[in-house]
Amino acid sequence: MRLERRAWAHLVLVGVCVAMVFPMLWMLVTAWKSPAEIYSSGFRPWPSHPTLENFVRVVRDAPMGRFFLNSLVVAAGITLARVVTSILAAYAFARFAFRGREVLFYLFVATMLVPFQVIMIPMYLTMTTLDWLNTYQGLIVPHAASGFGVFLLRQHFKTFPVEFTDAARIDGATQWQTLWKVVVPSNATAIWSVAVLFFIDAWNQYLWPLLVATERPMQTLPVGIQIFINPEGGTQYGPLMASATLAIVPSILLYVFAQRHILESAVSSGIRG
Amino acid sequence: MRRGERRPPKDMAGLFAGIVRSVPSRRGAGGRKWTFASPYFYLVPAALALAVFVYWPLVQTVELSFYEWNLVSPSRRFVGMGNYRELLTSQVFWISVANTLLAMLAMCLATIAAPLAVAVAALRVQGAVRLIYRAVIFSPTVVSMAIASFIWLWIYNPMQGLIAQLVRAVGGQGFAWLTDPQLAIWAIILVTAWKTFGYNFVIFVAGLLSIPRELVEAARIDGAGEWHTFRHVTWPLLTPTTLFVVLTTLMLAPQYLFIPTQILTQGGPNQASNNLGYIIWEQGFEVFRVGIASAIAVAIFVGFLAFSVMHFRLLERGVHYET
Repeated sequence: MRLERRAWAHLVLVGVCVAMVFPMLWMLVTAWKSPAEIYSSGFRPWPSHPTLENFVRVVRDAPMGRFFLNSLVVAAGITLARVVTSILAAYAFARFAFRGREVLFYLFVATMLVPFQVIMIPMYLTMTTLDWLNTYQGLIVPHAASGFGVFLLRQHFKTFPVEFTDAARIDGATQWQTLWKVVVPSNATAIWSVAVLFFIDAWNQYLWPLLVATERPMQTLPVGIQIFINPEGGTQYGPLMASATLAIVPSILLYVFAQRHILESAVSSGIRG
Repeated sequence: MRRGERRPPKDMAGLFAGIVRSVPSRRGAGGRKWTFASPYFYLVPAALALAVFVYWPLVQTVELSFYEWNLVSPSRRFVGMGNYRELLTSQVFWISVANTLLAMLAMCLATIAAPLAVAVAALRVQGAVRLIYRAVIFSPTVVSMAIASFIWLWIYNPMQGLIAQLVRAVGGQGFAWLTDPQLAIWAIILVTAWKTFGYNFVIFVAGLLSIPRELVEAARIDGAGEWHTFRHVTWPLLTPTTLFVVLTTLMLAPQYLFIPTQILTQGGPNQASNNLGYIIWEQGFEVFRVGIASAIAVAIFVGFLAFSVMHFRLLERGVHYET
């Protein structure tokens, strides 16, 4: 009876796993098929003659290197900016007593509750005013701070023993040095977790780059590879799936290697896709 | 170090901190003896970014909602509550509201009830296998929603798409969800559900793991069956987790709809799959009615504020678990 129950559990779980992985597998399968095979009728679960043709066309027909570079610069820039601003603000909220602390903290964290779509039109207008369309600063700076980052790091900094920071202070360290030489290294795990989450979030961004990066050389991967989509029906699915595969690789690698970080901070927070 | 005592700054940052401090600061700032730099110095970078790119746009959205404007013209016309009045009778807006509610309802089943059931199943499995299941089920969460939508665009393709091929293989006739007014919204919901299932699953597993085993075992020893134990022990103890997942899902579902809608249907056919996640984009950047778009934005913000505040309360109380 118990064994039978466990068998059922496995059956359900395997089924769900297949449903989760299948679309990604289908992307891979399509990427390795020749155009003739992609557009032939009949269900073909496997490429009969695996070919690199789609990947060659992707690299030939689209500035993939440039898209990659843009995605990397933007994701790294956003991650770095958010981590630094979050560390600073979280430290102030966790270790200083000052007037207006509670109100300010709520104002910081409440930014999590504002849906991006609600503020995107004025944000776009600000970009046009600053002449930041199609620039890296336009893609990065509006995302330079995160209420969520401040919230999460404050929790960690608050529970960090005061004795350690006091000891550093007695040894003559300034407040600034205490933060960077004691508090930050001691909370490295938490900070890495947040950083990984920020990076994936930034790497996956679509809506904002779609608005800001209207010119091809400034587009990031998810926006740029739409070069292969043609709403009139001429979408090139082979290259689209090949470029999607290339775009997913960094997220998946990061997930494989930083899985513990990602799952932990996802559970303690909420990943925002 | 005593307050007011001067030391030579050790580095540029220290120098800057010193400057900030030397600005006559409020007495009692700190209360601790080690008030060296002003806390406001640490807050400025984040505060600046959040003020300029969250609060200021929020104010502007409210302002724009009282105007009629096409995004590019140098002049805009004040219409007072005109945009809001128009919303009340706007067919597109109410289709979007209806579709969003439908999506929220569907997400409750597909990404709350179903992940909970699967999480309960996962708890029956012990050891490394469970970790593997968990890692695989979570994996779509790290994939970009845009990339996911491209993949599903291909799967949904009415001619050579996977589903169309399968339907034909079993003798069925064609398949065109994306251009079917009844089904287009479901195509979008399916993508969203696929992408968010894993996250809620992981949260439920963590929640279930945090329930003390003794309580469950005690119930079993008292002769309670599997269902009774779940219903009267596990389920009540899981309430905070469930509440968190429900609120997160309801709050984020409309936002999640944007990308699949933009890539798969553009709100079509004939507005049939439009929703609150997409309509602001459509009104603002496709048909250039900034006033209407802003009025909708304000309506959405106010409408979801209640969810948001409850959600935040929960987050603050610390409904989170170690994995």
